[in-house]
Amino acid sequence: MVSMNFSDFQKRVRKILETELPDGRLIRDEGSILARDIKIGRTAFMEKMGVTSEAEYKRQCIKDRRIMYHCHIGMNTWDETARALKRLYQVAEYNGFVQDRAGICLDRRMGLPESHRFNVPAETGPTLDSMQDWLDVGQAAPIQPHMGDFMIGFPAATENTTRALQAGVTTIGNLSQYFSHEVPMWKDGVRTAVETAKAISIMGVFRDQGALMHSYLDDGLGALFFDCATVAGWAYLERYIVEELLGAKLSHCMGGLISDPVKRSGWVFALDEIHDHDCIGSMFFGDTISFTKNFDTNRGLVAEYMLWDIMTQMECPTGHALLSIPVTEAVRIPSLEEIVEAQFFARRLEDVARRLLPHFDFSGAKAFASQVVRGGREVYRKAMEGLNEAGVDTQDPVQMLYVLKRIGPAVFEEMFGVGDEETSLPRGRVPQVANDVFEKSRECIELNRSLFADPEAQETFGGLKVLLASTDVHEHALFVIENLLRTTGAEVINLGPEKNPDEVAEGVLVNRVQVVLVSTHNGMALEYAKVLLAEMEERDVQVPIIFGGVLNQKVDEEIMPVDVDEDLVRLGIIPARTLEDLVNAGSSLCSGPAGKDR
Amino acid sequence: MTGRISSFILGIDAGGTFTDAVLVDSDNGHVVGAAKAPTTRASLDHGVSLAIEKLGRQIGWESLRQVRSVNLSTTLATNAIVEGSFSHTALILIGYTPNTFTLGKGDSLGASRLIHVDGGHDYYGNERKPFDEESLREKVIELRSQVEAFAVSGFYGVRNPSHEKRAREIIQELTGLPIVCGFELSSQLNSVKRATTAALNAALVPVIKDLLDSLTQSLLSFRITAPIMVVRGDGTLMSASWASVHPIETILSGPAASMMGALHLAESESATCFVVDMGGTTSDLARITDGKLDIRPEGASVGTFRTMVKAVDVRTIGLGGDSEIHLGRPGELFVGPRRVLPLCRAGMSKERMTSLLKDGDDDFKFPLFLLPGKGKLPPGHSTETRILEEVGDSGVSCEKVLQRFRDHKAVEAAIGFLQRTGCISVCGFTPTDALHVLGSLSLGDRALSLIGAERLATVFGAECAADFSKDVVSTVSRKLAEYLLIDCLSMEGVSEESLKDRLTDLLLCKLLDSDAKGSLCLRGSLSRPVLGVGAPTSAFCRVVESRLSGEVEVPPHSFVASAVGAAIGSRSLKQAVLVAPLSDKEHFRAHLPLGVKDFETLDEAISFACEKMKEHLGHNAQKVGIRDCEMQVRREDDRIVLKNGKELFFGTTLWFELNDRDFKENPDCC
Repeated sequence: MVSMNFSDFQKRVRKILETELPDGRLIRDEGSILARDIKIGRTAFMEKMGVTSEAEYKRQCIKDRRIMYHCHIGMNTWDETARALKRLYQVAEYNGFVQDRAGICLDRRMGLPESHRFNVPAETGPTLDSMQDWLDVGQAAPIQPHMGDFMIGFPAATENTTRALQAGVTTIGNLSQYFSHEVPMWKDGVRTAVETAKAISIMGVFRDQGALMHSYLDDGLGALFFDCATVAGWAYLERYIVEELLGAKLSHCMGGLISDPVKRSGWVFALDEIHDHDCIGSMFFGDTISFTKNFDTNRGLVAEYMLWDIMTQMECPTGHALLSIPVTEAVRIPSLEEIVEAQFFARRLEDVARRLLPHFDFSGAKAFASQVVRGGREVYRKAMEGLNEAGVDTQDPVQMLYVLKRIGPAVFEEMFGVGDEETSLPRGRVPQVANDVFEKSRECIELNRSLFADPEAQETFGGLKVLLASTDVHEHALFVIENLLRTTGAEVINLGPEKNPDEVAEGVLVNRVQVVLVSTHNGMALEYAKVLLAEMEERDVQVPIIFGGVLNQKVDEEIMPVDVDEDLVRLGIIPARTLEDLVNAGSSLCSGPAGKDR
Repeated sequence: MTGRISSFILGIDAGGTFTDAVLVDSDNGHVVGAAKAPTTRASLDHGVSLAIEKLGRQIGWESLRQVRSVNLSTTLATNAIVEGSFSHTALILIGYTPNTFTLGKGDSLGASRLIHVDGGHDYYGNERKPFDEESLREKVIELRSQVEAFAVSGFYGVRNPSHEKRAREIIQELTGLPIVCGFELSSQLNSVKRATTAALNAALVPVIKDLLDSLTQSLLSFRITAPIMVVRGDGTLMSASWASVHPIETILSGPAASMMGALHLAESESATCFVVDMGGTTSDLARITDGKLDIRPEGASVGTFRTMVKAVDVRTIGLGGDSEIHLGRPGELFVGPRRVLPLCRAGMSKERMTSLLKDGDDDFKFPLFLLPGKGKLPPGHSTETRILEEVGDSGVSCEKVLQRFRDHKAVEAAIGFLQRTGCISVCGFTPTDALHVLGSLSLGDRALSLIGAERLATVFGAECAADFSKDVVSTVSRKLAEYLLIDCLSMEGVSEESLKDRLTDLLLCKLLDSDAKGSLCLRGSLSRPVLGVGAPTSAFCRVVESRLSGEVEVPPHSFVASAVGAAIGSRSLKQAVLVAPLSDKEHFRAHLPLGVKDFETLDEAISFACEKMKEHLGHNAQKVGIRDCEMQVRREDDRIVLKNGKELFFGTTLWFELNDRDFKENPDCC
């Protein structure tokens, strides 16, 4: 499972650095010059609260031990969004609570420079097309807007940051998205890194005026590390780039992928430590991985995590606004009523939390924090040394951004992780503190072990040589399937995540496998299958192919990907949406295309 | 030549056993004359000369000298591949995974030397690695004195031929030897088959050139100066000069010509049929749909080689008129796969035959005997020498030979060797003998067949020689019918692997055996008529007809069907070109044999491809021997319509085709 040693890493970094990059210091200076023409605007919320930035407000909340609440508004148009903000404010006023802030879910195209935006198909959410639109964001209602998605970290970072600040939005993100997201039809990775660095340096100029560089770790590489210690190390690294190299104040956010209450709490303590007890968090996201399609179950889940989150903020105030997720979110875009209901619910929980707090024991959470921070520091140290040694100018923000993105999470953790070495595990290590996704993967393996221990499964896969690969970043799915297939006696060759069809076909040829299993979740199943078949044909290899995961296909102008199971079957591919399907694929394997007599 | 352009075409088929020559009148398609001569394996043109000589004597030299074209179908390339008797070549593989050919069984590509060079392209035709010209130069210089030709195949060379073309320039500059590139022979994906095709083609260049040169000389000796055309594996024709550069295209030209000849000769008006061509050793089964041979989409296989050649989809069965009949338990008889000399052609007295068949005990199952041949045994073969001593001048039964030696396996091997070297003939009872016994065929001495049938009938448990012979005919016919059924099922997409189960076996029995017992009775009928080719086919096909209802016809002159098929062929040139979106989906690339070019719209790319291919094919058409005729373009879009009605587009294949025919029976053609 170990894919590279330091020498390989060094070669990869050198290859990455063959790309011509501008001097990051000059880019920082460019940002500072641009900032001279910017004046932070005043939002209706700032007027109402008498502050000049959200950061100032947050510091007041910390001081007053007040809990801040966040909500997400995901309407399709700006008009609907503005109406929702107004209505939310009215409901809050009427019921006597403060709705502190709202995240506006904008169209992904907002990450593209304005000149490119309109050649690309629309997605969900509004776009802000004029300066007036931007100003309206801050004036629609006295709720402080949070500009998290598709701002900094994308090609339009500089222009979006400028306008957001002018509109009075002072918490802008999302650095984590820079590392794991792309905007449609954009391929210039250098420009993305440059614009990101430039925008952060603008935020740096306004650091003392309360500008907060938001980074939601679970929306970036944080979600893709197996060890919480690596996440902490990565947080240190982001802080270094944002604060040391570009002078801005970094505001870390987490929560969406953490379901263990001890860890949720623990991360707040840890972030406080990582930020030297001057942590000003943007928000703490609700637990999305535990959500089900059953709204009543979800209500219980929200109660559980909100209670913890509120009490943690009371114990360790970091300014993180808390998000009570509407119970319908896993099924549909929540309506205004559902958003309001969730907010109400949170305020009621706050009453309970205040009563319960004295009876709570945070020692587990604090122990967790201390462990991940200790590990994180070690990861950070190793990463800085390793990057330096591999030839990266760690003083150059553009180089750091560009190289770290190209390295990716798997290589980063493999090279700089701190868990004990264990070659049979993904990334070659035992996580010091396994994150919840990793633990859920392990639970999934245990839960399904009997399914694969079944004699029929053993007969189907036992002794077979299987090639496993993923079209996307979902390494966890590979980890689960690899372990389960091994229980049948199959020999599994795991090529890893983000493999292109040519790499998979080459893997089939070189490893002489008898079956290929491709895991896919990124809406490209059919296109991938067509190219894979061609790549295999060109190499004269033909073995049964199973596609597992979410078998759908995006079509440019459509928002929702389309199911393509039947189309895959027509191409001769065996679809397996579930682990049961995978076991049942045995019968298809027997009658499927036989291994070509080469 | 007289003033009028001759309407006669000379068709020649240089087959494995016989060489046939026919003269066909292209005005009406009639066979004016036909002649047969034994094939001379050592030099095919000698057999061709003999056949032409016979034909000339039969129809008069005047008509023969005025032919407008001499069309040849030949098994030379196929035989050379199967026997491995081709020239030394080097195969240059550009950008292939170095161990591709050592990992599997595909390590024999038909080339004596494999050279790996860095380079190659990807799925989209983008360069995957720069082409390592220097390394190629070094290797070519090292090899140029050791090989007779070069073949070049690039990874994804069909998506971008630039590296193959550059390699050709370099080899040309350094050697002057014949070179063939993979992209010139196929436009399909599969780098292994393209490499095999290129390598075999290169290896066959000297072989086919020798044949065509000597044939030209032979024709000149008869004062025949008409251009030579050669039949391809898909039944179409190409000029001799094109064939000498693309000899691989001649593989399976014999069966292809035979099938097309059968269709031409048939009285049945259906242009969609099965054709069964029964020879001495094997039978070929193929399909014709709307007047065109069904082509094997994955390319023709010859021996252990899988190629990209678009040739007739022929199913070859180890069942022929001269297949050996041997017995199992009482009531059980087997046919083939060994080819033997039928008893009726043993050329001996009845007394001698009777005496030979008396050897052995009453339950002998291999009624074979060995007759002396003309071949000379090379020194150093002791077992073979001892067997030859047993054979003597008048022959010996196999039973007797086996009794003399302990190691029966060694004897079998030695007999095989002696047979191949022509030192002996193995003679035995065959389906041809059964037909002689029943009076359905009279090519040899029926009395000798009858002696064999009587002897075998006793062991088999049949009442008389005729009953036994009927059982033989029935068994052969059943096998033919079974293969027809399997072929029908394979057309429906059923794999042969999946037919190998008990239920399928049972259902086939129910369908084919009229006396099958049980409560289920199945009857099948064929949706297209069956044309039979070859002397013994007629009788067997009649029995097939009784098992599977359908029309069966053995056309007149079918004994020279291949030569007729050669004569009536059309000159043709086909090429496919892919136009596909690039990974950004904003540009479209035309993957032309001339190189790649990108466009912003699909229509622009298609227009460009059509324009360039018109020039390219127009130029090649002259080389193939095609005169003025319009290029046909067929467009095939690769699209998938998703559940929501939206489409995913993967590319457009443009099929360009030029067809030029001497025959007037289909005035619509070109």
